[in-house]
Amino acid sequence: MAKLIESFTNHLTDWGLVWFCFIFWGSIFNAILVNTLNFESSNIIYFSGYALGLIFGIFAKYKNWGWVN
Amino acid sequence: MSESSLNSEKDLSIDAERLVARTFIGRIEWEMIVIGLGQFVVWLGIWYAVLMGLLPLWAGFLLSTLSISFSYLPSHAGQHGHLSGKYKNLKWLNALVGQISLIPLAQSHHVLKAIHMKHHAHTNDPEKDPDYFHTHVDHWWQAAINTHGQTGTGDSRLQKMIESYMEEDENFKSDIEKGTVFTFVFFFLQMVTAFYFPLETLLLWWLPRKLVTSYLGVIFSHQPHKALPKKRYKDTRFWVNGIPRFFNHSMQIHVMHHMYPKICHFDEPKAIEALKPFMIARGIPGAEDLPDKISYKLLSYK
Repeated sequence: MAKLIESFTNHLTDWGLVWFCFIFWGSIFNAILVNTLNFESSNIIYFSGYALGLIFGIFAKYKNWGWVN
Repeated sequence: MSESSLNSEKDLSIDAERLVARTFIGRIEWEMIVIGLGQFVVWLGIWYAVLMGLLPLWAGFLLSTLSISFSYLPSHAGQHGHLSGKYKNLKWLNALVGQISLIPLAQSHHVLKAIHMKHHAHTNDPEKDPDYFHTHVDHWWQAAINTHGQTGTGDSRLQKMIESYMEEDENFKSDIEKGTVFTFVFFFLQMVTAFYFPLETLLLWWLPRKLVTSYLGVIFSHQPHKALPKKRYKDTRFWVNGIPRFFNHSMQIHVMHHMYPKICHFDEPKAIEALKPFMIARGIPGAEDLPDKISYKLLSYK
Protein backbone atom coordinates (compact mmCIF):
# COMPACT_ATOMS: atom_id res chain seq x y z
CA MET A 1 0.00 0.00 0.00
CA ALA A 2 2.82 2.37 0.94
CA LYS A 3 4.52 1.65 -2.39
CA LEU A 4 1.31 2.37 -4.25
CA ILE A 5 0.89 5.70 -2.48
CA GLU A 6 4.54 6.53 -3.14
CA SER A 7 4.31 5.76 -6.86
CA PHE A 8 1.04 7.74 -7.08
CA THR A 9 2.69 10.70 -5.34
CA ASN A 10 5.71 10.46 -7.63
CA HIS A 11 3.46 10.36 -10.67
CA LEU A 12 1.60 13.46 -9.50
CA THR A 13 4.87 15.24 -8.77
CA ASP A 14 6.01 14.61 -12.34
CA TRP A 15 2.73 14.81 -14.23
CA GLY A 16 0.32 16.60 -11.85
CA LEU A 17 0.56 19.85 -13.76
CA VAL A 18 -0.35 18.11 -17.03
CA TRP A 19 -3.33 16.33 -15.41
CA PHE A 20 -4.44 19.58 -13.83
CA CYS A 21 -4.34 21.47 -17.12
CA PHE A 22 -6.05 18.61 -18.96
CA ILE A 23 -9.02 18.49 -16.58
CA PHE A 24 -9.14 21.98 -15.02
CA TRP A 25 -8.15 24.14 -17.99
CA GLY A 26 -9.67 21.66 -20.47
CA SER A 27 -13.07 22.09 -18.77
CA ILE A 28 -12.68 25.87 -18.84
CA PHE A 29 -11.52 25.98 -22.49
CA ASN A 30 -14.41 23.71 -23.37
CA ALA A 31 -16.92 25.99 -21.61
CA ILE A 32 -15.46 29.07 -23.30
CA LEU A 33 -15.63 27.39 -26.73
CA VAL A 34 -19.22 26.28 -26.23
CA ASN A 35 -20.26 29.75 -25.05
CA THR A 36 -18.27 31.64 -27.67
CA LEU A 37 -19.30 29.53 -30.67
CA ASN A 38 -22.86 29.62 -29.39
CA PHE A 39 -24.15 26.26 -30.61
CA GLU A 40 -24.94 22.96 -29.04
CA SER A 41 -21.96 21.16 -27.58
CA SER A 42 -20.65 18.68 -30.12
CA ASN A 43 -18.03 16.00 -29.67
CA ILE A 44 -15.48 18.02 -31.68
CA ILE A 45 -15.83 21.06 -29.45
CA TYR A 46 -15.90 18.86 -26.37
CA PHE A 47 -12.63 17.19 -27.31
CA SER A 48 -10.93 20.30 -28.65
CA GLY A 49 -11.35 22.07 -25.30
CA TYR A 50 -9.69 19.20 -23.46
CA ALA A 51 -7.05 18.82 -26.19
CA LEU A 52 -6.18 22.49 -25.71
CA GLY A 53 -5.94 21.85 -21.97
CA LEU A 54 -3.59 18.92 -22.52
CA ILE A 55 -1.34 20.90 -24.87
CA PHE A 56 -1.34 23.77 -22.38
CA GLY A 57 -0.39 21.30 -19.63
CA ILE A 58 2.54 19.81 -21.55
CA PHE A 59 3.73 23.31 -22.38
CA ALA A 60 3.34 24.38 -18.72
CA LYS A 61 5.30 21.33 -17.53
CA TYR A 62 8.26 22.06 -19.74
CA LYS A 63 8.12 25.80 -19.02
CA ASN A 64 7.76 25.04 -15.25
CA TRP A 65 4.68 27.28 -15.02
CA GLY A 66 3.62 26.60 -11.42
CA TRP A 67 1.16 29.51 -11.56
CA VAL A 68 -1.30 27.59 -13.75
CA ASN A 69 -2.53 25.49 -10.82
CA MET B 1 8.79 48.94 38.42
CA SER B 2 5.63 50.22 36.70
CA GLU B 3 5.00 50.01 32.96
CA SER B 4 4.78 53.78 32.63
CA SER B 5 8.13 54.33 34.27
CA LEU B 6 9.73 51.72 32.04
CA ASN B 7 8.21 53.31 28.96
CA SER B 8 10.03 56.54 29.53
CA GLU B 9 12.94 58.22 27.87
CA LYS B 10 15.17 57.16 30.78
CA ASP B 11 14.81 53.41 30.39
CA LEU B 12 14.94 52.27 26.78
CA SER B 13 16.71 49.00 27.48
CA ILE B 14 15.79 45.74 25.79
CA ASP B 15 14.39 44.44 29.08
CA ALA B 16 12.15 47.48 29.43
CA GLU B 17 11.03 47.09 25.81
CA ARG B 18 10.14 43.43 26.38
CA LEU B 19 8.23 44.26 29.55
CA VAL B 20 6.05 46.76 27.68
CA ALA B 21 5.58 44.37 24.72
CA ARG B 22 4.56 41.54 27.05
CA THR B 23 1.50 43.51 28.21
CA PHE B 24 0.07 43.13 24.68
CA ILE B 25 0.68 39.38 24.39
CA GLY B 26 -1.52 36.45 25.35
CA ARG B 27 -5.13 37.16 24.50
CA ILE B 28 -7.24 35.14 22.08
CA GLU B 29 -7.61 37.14 18.87
CA TRP B 30 -11.32 36.45 18.43
CA GLU B 31 -11.58 39.02 15.64
CA MET B 32 -9.44 36.79 13.42
CA ILE B 33 -11.58 33.74 14.22
CA VAL B 34 -14.67 35.71 13.15
CA ILE B 35 -12.96 36.99 9.98
CA GLY B 36 -11.51 33.58 9.09
CA LEU B 37 -14.78 31.68 9.40
CA GLY B 38 -16.86 34.63 8.21
CA GLN B 39 -15.08 35.18 4.92
CA PHE B 40 -15.28 31.44 4.19
CA VAL B 41 -19.06 31.47 4.74
CA VAL B 42 -19.36 34.61 2.59
CA TRP B 43 -17.34 32.92 -0.17
CA LEU B 44 -19.61 29.85 -0.05
CA GLY B 45 -22.60 32.21 -0.15
CA ILE B 46 -21.24 33.86 -3.29
CA TRP B 47 -20.94 30.43 -4.93
CA TYR B 48 -24.50 29.60 -3.92
CA ALA B 49 -25.87 32.94 -5.17
CA VAL B 50 -24.11 32.60 -8.54
CA LEU B 51 -25.10 28.96 -9.08
CA MET B 52 -28.73 29.76 -8.15
CA GLY B 53 -28.77 32.68 -10.58
CA LEU B 54 -29.23 35.24 -7.79
CA LEU B 55 -25.95 37.00 -8.60
CA PRO B 56 -24.28 37.58 -11.99
CA LEU B 57 -20.93 35.87 -12.43
CA TRP B 58 -19.04 39.15 -12.91
CA ALA B 59 -20.39 40.48 -9.59
CA GLY B 60 -19.52 37.17 -7.97
CA PHE B 61 -15.98 37.54 -9.27
CA LEU B 62 -15.60 41.01 -7.72
CA LEU B 63 -17.14 39.99 -4.39
CA SER B 64 -15.13 36.77 -4.29
CA THR B 65 -11.87 38.66 -4.86
CA LEU B 66 -12.73 41.05 -2.04
CA SER B 67 -13.74 38.21 0.28
CA ILE B 68 -10.65 36.10 -0.45
CA SER B 69 -8.42 39.09 0.35
CA PHE B 70 -9.42 38.47 3.98
CA SER B 71 -8.52 34.77 3.95
CA TYR B 72 -4.78 34.89 4.67
CA LEU B 73 -4.57 36.96 7.87
CA PRO B 74 -6.56 34.53 10.07
CA SER B 75 -4.21 31.73 9.01
CA HIS B 76 -1.29 34.04 9.71
CA ALA B 77 -2.70 34.69 13.18
CA GLY B 78 -2.98 30.93 13.66
CA GLN B 79 0.61 30.43 12.50
CA HIS B 80 1.71 32.65 15.39
CA GLY B 81 -0.67 31.12 17.92
CA HIS B 82 -2.87 34.22 18.24
CA LEU B 83 -6.08 32.22 17.91
CA SER B 84 -5.39 30.28 21.10
CA GLY B 85 -3.53 33.05 22.92
CA LYS B 86 -2.01 31.86 26.19
CA TYR B 87 -4.48 28.95 26.47
CA LYS B 88 -2.56 25.78 25.60
CA ASN B 89 -5.71 23.63 25.52
CA LEU B 90 -7.03 25.74 22.63
CA LYS B 91 -4.00 25.32 20.35
CA TRP B 92 -6.07 23.22 17.95
CA LEU B 93 -7.96 26.41 17.04
CA ASN B 94 -4.88 27.78 15.26
CA ALA B 95 -4.70 25.00 12.68
CA LEU B 96 -8.45 24.44 12.37
CA VAL B 97 -9.51 28.05 11.78
CA GLY B 98 -6.28 28.73 9.86
CA GLN B 99 -6.98 25.89 7.43
CA ILE B 100 -10.69 26.68 6.96
CA SER B 101 -9.79 30.30 6.31
CA LEU B 102 -7.32 29.26 3.58
CA ILE B 103 -9.78 27.14 1.58
CA PRO B 104 -10.64 30.02 -0.79
CA LEU B 105 -6.89 30.54 -1.34
CA ALA B 106 -6.46 26.77 -1.90
CA GLN B 107 -3.41 26.78 0.35
CA SER B 108 -2.23 24.58 3.18
CA HIS B 109 -2.01 26.24 6.61
CA HIS B 110 0.87 23.98 7.67
CA VAL B 111 2.92 24.64 4.54
CA LEU B 112 2.45 28.40 4.82
CA LYS B 113 3.27 28.23 8.54
CA ALA B 114 6.52 26.36 7.93
CA ILE B 115 7.60 28.83 5.26
CA HIS B 116 6.48 31.89 7.24
CA MET B 117 8.43 30.85 10.35
CA LYS B 118 11.59 30.68 8.23
CA HIS B 119 10.79 34.15 6.90
CA HIS B 120 10.71 35.44 10.49
CA ALA B 121 13.89 33.62 11.45
CA HIS B 122 15.86 34.85 8.42
CA THR B 123 14.10 38.01 7.23
CA ASN B 124 15.76 39.53 4.14
CA ASP B 125 18.51 36.88 4.00
CA PRO B 126 18.95 36.02 0.29
CA GLU B 127 20.08 32.50 1.18
CA LYS B 128 17.46 31.65 3.82
CA ASP B 129 14.37 33.89 3.59
CA PRO B 130 11.71 32.15 1.44
CA ASP B 131 10.06 35.54 0.80
CA TYR B 132 13.28 37.13 -0.46
CA PHE B 133 12.54 36.48 -4.13
CA HIS B 134 9.46 38.67 -4.11
CA THR B 135 10.38 41.16 -1.38
CA HIS B 136 13.70 42.26 -2.84
CA VAL B 137 12.74 43.24 -6.36
CA ASP B 138 12.87 46.62 -8.06
CA HIS B 139 9.17 47.10 -8.84
CA TRP B 140 5.88 46.16 -7.19
CA TRP B 141 4.72 44.30 -10.30
CA GLN B 142 7.77 42.01 -10.04
CA ALA B 143 6.66 41.17 -6.48
CA ALA B 144 3.12 40.56 -7.79
CA ILE B 145 4.47 38.00 -10.28
CA ASN B 146 7.28 36.42 -8.25
CA THR B 147 5.07 35.74 -5.24
CA HIS B 148 3.36 33.00 -7.27
CA GLY B 149 6.65 31.10 -7.08
CA GLN B 150 5.68 30.27 -3.49
CA THR B 151 2.79 28.16 -4.73
CA GLY B 152 2.94 25.08 -6.93
CA THR B 153 6.27 24.24 -8.51
CA GLY B 154 7.26 27.79 -9.32
CA ASP B 155 10.60 29.25 -8.30
CA SER B 156 13.48 26.76 -8.46
CA ARG B 157 15.56 28.86 -6.01
CA LEU B 158 12.76 28.61 -3.48
CA GLN B 159 12.36 24.89 -4.10
CA LYS B 160 16.06 24.42 -3.40
CA MET B 161 15.74 26.42 -0.16
CA ILE B 162 12.75 24.31 0.95
CA GLU B 163 14.59 21.05 0.16
CA SER B 164 17.50 22.27 2.26
CA TYR B 165 15.19 23.08 5.20
CA MET B 166 13.53 19.66 4.84
CA GLU B 167 16.92 18.01 5.34
CA GLU B 168 18.04 20.06 8.33
CA ASP B 169 14.83 20.86 10.25
CA GLU B 170 12.51 18.06 11.45
CA ASN B 171 9.72 20.45 12.51
CA PHE B 172 9.77 22.11 9.10
CA LYS B 173 9.67 18.71 7.39
CA SER B 174 6.78 17.58 9.58
CA ASP B 175 4.73 20.72 8.81
CA ILE B 176 5.37 20.40 5.06
CA GLU B 177 4.36 16.73 5.12
CA LYS B 178 1.16 17.50 7.08
CA GLY B 179 0.34 20.30 4.67
CA THR B 180 0.95 18.21 1.56
CA VAL B 181 -2.28 16.31 2.29
CA PHE B 182 -4.27 19.55 2.00
CA THR B 183 -2.32 20.56 -1.10
CA PHE B 184 -3.45 17.31 -2.77
CA VAL B 185 -7.04 17.84 -1.59
CA PHE B 186 -7.13 21.32 -3.14
CA PHE B 187 -5.49 19.99 -6.29
CA PHE B 188 -8.28 17.43 -6.83
CA LEU B 189 -11.09 19.63 -5.54
CA GLN B 190 -10.32 22.34 -8.08
CA MET B 191 -10.33 19.83 -10.93
CA VAL B 192 -13.67 18.38 -9.82
CA THR B 193 -15.35 21.79 -9.42
CA ALA B 194 -13.93 22.95 -12.77
CA PHE B 195 -15.34 19.84 -14.45
CA TYR B 196 -18.87 20.57 -13.18
CA PHE B 197 -18.77 24.41 -12.94
CA PRO B 198 -15.92 25.55 -15.25
CA LEU B 199 -16.49 29.29 -15.60
CA GLU B 200 -17.63 29.65 -11.99
CA THR B 201 -14.47 27.89 -10.79
CA LEU B 202 -12.37 30.18 -12.96
CA LEU B 203 -14.02 33.41 -11.83
CA LEU B 204 -15.01 32.65 -8.24
CA TRP B 205 -11.94 30.67 -7.18
CA TRP B 206 -8.89 30.46 -9.46
CA LEU B 207 -8.65 34.04 -10.74
CA PRO B 208 -9.60 35.74 -7.43
CA ARG B 209 -7.04 33.70 -5.48
CA LYS B 210 -4.33 34.51 -8.03
CA LEU B 211 -5.13 38.23 -7.80
CA VAL B 212 -5.17 38.06 -4.00
CA THR B 213 -1.85 36.18 -3.96
CA SER B 214 -0.34 39.05 -5.95
CA TYR B 215 -1.90 41.55 -3.54
CA LEU B 216 -0.41 39.65 -0.60
CA GLY B 217 3.01 39.57 -2.25
CA VAL B 218 3.04 43.32 -2.83
CA ILE B 219 1.29 44.66 0.29
CA PHE B 220 2.19 42.03 2.92
CA SER B 221 5.77 41.30 1.82
CA HIS B 222 7.35 43.63 -0.72
CA GLN B 223 6.31 47.02 0.69
CA PRO B 224 7.30 46.34 4.32
CA HIS B 225 10.66 44.71 3.47
CA LYS B 226 11.86 46.06 0.14
CA ALA B 227 15.52 47.05 -0.09
CA LEU B 228 16.08 46.50 3.64
CA PRO B 229 18.95 44.57 5.26
CA LYS B 230 18.77 41.43 7.42
CA LYS B 231 18.89 42.76 10.97
CA ARG B 232 16.40 42.97 13.83
CA TYR B 233 14.84 46.46 13.99
CA LYS B 234 16.15 47.21 10.48
CA ASP B 235 14.49 44.50 8.38
CA THR B 236 10.96 46.00 8.23
CA ARG B 237 9.71 49.56 7.80
CA PHE B 238 6.70 51.76 8.35
CA TRP B 239 5.36 52.90 5.00
CA VAL B 240 2.49 54.92 3.55
CA ASN B 241 0.74 54.79 0.19
CA GLY B 242 -2.01 57.40 0.51
CA ILE B 243 -4.66 54.79 1.26
CA PRO B 244 -6.17 54.38 4.76
CA ARG B 245 -4.33 51.47 6.34
CA PHE B 246 -7.60 49.61 6.95
CA PHE B 247 -7.85 49.01 3.19
CA ASN B 248 -4.35 47.50 3.12
CA HIS B 249 -5.04 45.16 6.01
CA SER B 250 -2.85 47.49 8.13
CA MET B 251 0.33 46.29 6.50
CA GLN B 252 1.76 49.81 6.76
CA ILE B 253 2.45 48.93 10.41
CA HIS B 254 3.71 45.38 9.69
CA VAL B 255 6.99 46.32 11.39
CA MET B 256 5.28 45.86 14.77
CA HIS B 257 4.64 42.24 13.83
CA HIS B 258 8.31 41.63 13.03
CA MET B 259 9.38 43.29 16.27
CA TYR B 260 7.04 41.11 18.39
CA PRO B 261 5.24 38.41 16.34
CA LYS B 262 3.25 37.28 19.37
CA ILE B 263 1.33 40.57 19.54
CA CYS B 264 -2.08 40.17 17.89
CA HIS B 265 -2.74 42.06 14.65
CA PHE B 266 -5.61 44.05 16.16
CA ASP B 267 -3.47 45.12 19.14
CA GLU B 268 -0.61 46.45 17.02
CA PRO B 269 -1.75 50.12 16.96
CA LYS B 270 -1.83 50.33 20.78
CA ALA B 271 1.45 48.43 21.04
CA ILE B 272 3.11 50.83 18.58
CA GLU B 273 1.92 53.82 20.60
CA ALA B 274 3.42 52.29 23.75
CA LEU B 275 6.63 51.16 22.07
CA LYS B 276 7.21 54.23 19.90
CA PRO B 277 10.12 55.58 22.03
CA PHE B 278 11.85 52.17 21.78
CA MET B 279 11.23 52.03 18.04
CA ILE B 280 12.80 55.43 17.53
CA ALA B 281 15.74 54.52 19.79
CA ARG B 282 16.36 51.32 17.80
CA GLY B 283 16.27 53.23 14.50
CA ILE B 284 13.35 51.34 12.96
CA PRO B 285 12.84 52.77 9.45
CA GLY B 286 9.96 55.27 9.50
CA ALA B 287 9.46 55.20 13.30
CA GLU B 288 10.56 58.81 13.84
CA ASP B 289 7.77 60.03 11.53
CA LEU B 290 4.95 58.16 13.27
CA PRO B 291 2.00 60.08 14.66
CA ASP B 292 1.50 59.73 18.43
CA LYS B 293 -1.89 58.11 17.87
CA ILE B 294 -2.35 55.30 15.33
CA SER B 295 -5.91 55.66 14.08
CA TYR B 296 -7.90 53.57 11.65
CA LYS B 297 -7.62 56.41 9.16
CA LEU B 298 -4.63 57.25 7.01
CA LEU B 299 -1.33 56.44 8.69
CA SER B 300 0.07 59.89 8.04
CA TYR B 301 3.52 61.11 8.70
CA LYS B 302 3.89 64.46 10.51
